[in-house]
Amino acid sequence: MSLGERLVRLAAAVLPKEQREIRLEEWSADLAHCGELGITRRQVVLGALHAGFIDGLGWRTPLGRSRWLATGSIIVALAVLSVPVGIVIAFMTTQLRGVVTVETGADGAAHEVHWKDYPGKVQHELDGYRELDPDAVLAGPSAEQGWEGAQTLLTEIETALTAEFGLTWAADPNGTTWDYEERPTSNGYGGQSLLVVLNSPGSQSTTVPDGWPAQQRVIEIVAAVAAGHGYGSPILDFERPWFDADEAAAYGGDRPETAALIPGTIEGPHGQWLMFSIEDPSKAAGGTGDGDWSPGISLSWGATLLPHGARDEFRARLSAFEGYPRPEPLVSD
Amino acid sequence: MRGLTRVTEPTIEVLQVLLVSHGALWGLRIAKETGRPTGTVYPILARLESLGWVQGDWEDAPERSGPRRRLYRLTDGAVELAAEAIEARRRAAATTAPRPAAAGGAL
Repeated sequence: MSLGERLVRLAAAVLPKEQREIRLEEWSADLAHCGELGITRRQVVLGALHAGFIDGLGWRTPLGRSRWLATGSIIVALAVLSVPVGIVIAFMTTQLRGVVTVETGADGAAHEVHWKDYPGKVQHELDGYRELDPDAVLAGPSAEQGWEGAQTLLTEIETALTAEFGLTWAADPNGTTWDYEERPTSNGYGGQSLLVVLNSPGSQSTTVPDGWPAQQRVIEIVAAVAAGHGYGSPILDFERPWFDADEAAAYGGDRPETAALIPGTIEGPHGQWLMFSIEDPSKAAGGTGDGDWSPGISLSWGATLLPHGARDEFRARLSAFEGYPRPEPLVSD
Repeated sequence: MRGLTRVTEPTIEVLQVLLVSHGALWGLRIAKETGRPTGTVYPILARLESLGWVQGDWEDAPERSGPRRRLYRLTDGAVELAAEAIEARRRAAATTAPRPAAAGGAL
């Protein structure tokens, strides 16, 4: 509904009951067709507000010009201000209150569900939104177990790649180490999840196997080791729906055979993921990249998992949301 | 039908537009013809309608989608009264019009 339609509705609402429906339809039609007479929608809206004041609020005597100017100024100012102020208020209210839905409980009564307290995590995806399945969260490794498992996984991958290509590995250039560190994450509904985010230190080889066939073999090895830990198939960035010309320029090519940078992801079980990238400056010459490449294979791991100590609270808080469909998460969350 | 208790200049203008029209008129058209804002015209039409001087009906135009336009016409009994009111206002205006100042000035 446009601002004009809203104001016309407001003007009609102050009229005596017997006039209300008639004027609303009449003024709505005026709004729709006023262009035929060269009359602007603004004139129709202001006229409706004026008529609403006269017929609805009992101002039966003509008002002086200055009084109308003052009244008109107030109305226009309120109308103009109400839009951004309303948006800000709605945004702040949503952020403070989180997502609230009205659901029918097992007792048949309707009641509000405050999703801000939801202990899991729901997030937007390219094709909608997705929840980290709470049952899978509870069945999966704890955050601490996931952290340990990731060290094993990355070590196995490094070992397998070294065995085939004779690589050496450097410490994380960011100085991050394998000291357990969890970060809080939002639940998607304006509250904080009990799940935590974990990111491993990066691991990078000092050299890179030469040419696409060898690099393809790197991906096969990484995928095979990861599969042994329950991970899925690798997906290269080139296959992602968001991959476009800008990405191709940044990667130095639009396909792995020619690109200087080949990043990919393998989704693991229970909210874990493995990221890898192969950087080969020798391929950059034929691409459109800026040439700032350093050779090597990079590996890193990340996850959204539940710390062991939070399992009981997770179950308890989850029970308040059982049986209710997950609403759409907040865009800003 | 009841008599008009307050006959303002805009009311006369609305009556005049309705009197010379050859059919029912869209409310917005009346505002356009009188040159008055709709905020003035609609309350007048509402008052005339409640007094029985004007009849408002929804437009029967199935080819138009959305909300219906409302068309107004003078009721049969109001045609003569409207003409009289307009004439009375014309006469009153002529009587109260300021006379031109006398030539020659003060003595």
